[in-house]
Amino acid sequence: MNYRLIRSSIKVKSRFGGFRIALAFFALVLLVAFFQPRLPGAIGAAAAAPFWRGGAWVAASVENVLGFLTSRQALLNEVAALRAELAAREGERQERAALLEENAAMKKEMGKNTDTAAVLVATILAMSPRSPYDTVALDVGARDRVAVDDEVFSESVLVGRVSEVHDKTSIASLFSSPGTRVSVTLVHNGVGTSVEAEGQGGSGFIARLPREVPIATGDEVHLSDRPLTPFAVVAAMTGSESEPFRTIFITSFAPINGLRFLSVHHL
Amino acid sequence: MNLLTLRVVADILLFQSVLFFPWWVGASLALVFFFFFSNYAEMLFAAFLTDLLYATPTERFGGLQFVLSLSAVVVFVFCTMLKQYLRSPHLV
Repeated sequence: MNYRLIRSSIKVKSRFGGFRIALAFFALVLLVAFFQPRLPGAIGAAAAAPFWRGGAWVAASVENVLGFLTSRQALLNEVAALRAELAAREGERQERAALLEENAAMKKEMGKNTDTAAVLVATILAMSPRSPYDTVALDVGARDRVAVDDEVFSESVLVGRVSEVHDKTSIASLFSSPGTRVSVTLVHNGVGTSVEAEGQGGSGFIARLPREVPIATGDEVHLSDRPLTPFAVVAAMTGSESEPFRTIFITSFAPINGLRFLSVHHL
Repeated sequence: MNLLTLRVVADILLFQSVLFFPWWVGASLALVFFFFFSNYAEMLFAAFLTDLLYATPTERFGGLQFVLSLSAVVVFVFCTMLKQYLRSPHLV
């Protein structure tokens, strides 16, 4: 039997179905952003942490297996390189210990508190390029007494601050994150010039200075409020003779890529 | 493999890429899956998860934390329009 086709009875997929989904999602994001910005982050981090740890374990296992298959000569070369690095690090450590001792003695003489901040070694769970914001997810959180604004170091170089704290994890923002501005002092032949540097990602910064200011490649750069702490170095400069300003490219002493650990200094 | 199974596999791949791969891998996968499946809202949730895991309020975006999520909404709306235009029977 044939039925007459009634056009109004045909179910047509809404042309605006996608828009409705987008709109509902937009509303959800706004609600979360304004009313509970921390709760979903804490849930997400708690859910992701086991996956991150599992991924790190798998990567380490694969590395071990590959290491087992490495040739004897390659292993000998690696041992020699590691011994040389160890010797260099030992020298740095002794120098740093001497400086810390001297620093503590001077502070004591000046009547300042010499209590050191609590230092936590944190495993990096995820970082750039996984993170589009150039942030670092760390495996220490409120349970380890980490707080917002705690300083994050790579060896002795201050690289950023903790900006979000969850129960077992935290997120650190790097000074070199794109758009982040930090006040630094460029030191050329013992003379310092203060300037604002802007993070470019990948442990890099740029700053603009008048051409008359004497600066050379290789000059040391310090954070303005930390003149004794190593921070970065002038890597390159651009700008023709006719331009009044030069663009200074600064590279951190501590390249973040490839790192597995950072230390968090709880103030 | 039916379309639903394929979609579940695609979702697993997308959410794994948020956790383990560079962010642009996830973004590329989301775009490809968007054009393959209908109303692929999972891309919005993947962007939201990325923001939850990695984003912090930054001065650059006026203290807003969910920049990627909002960008994903814009991309979603734009791609939905593009998809309808591509499928339009009026086009030759």
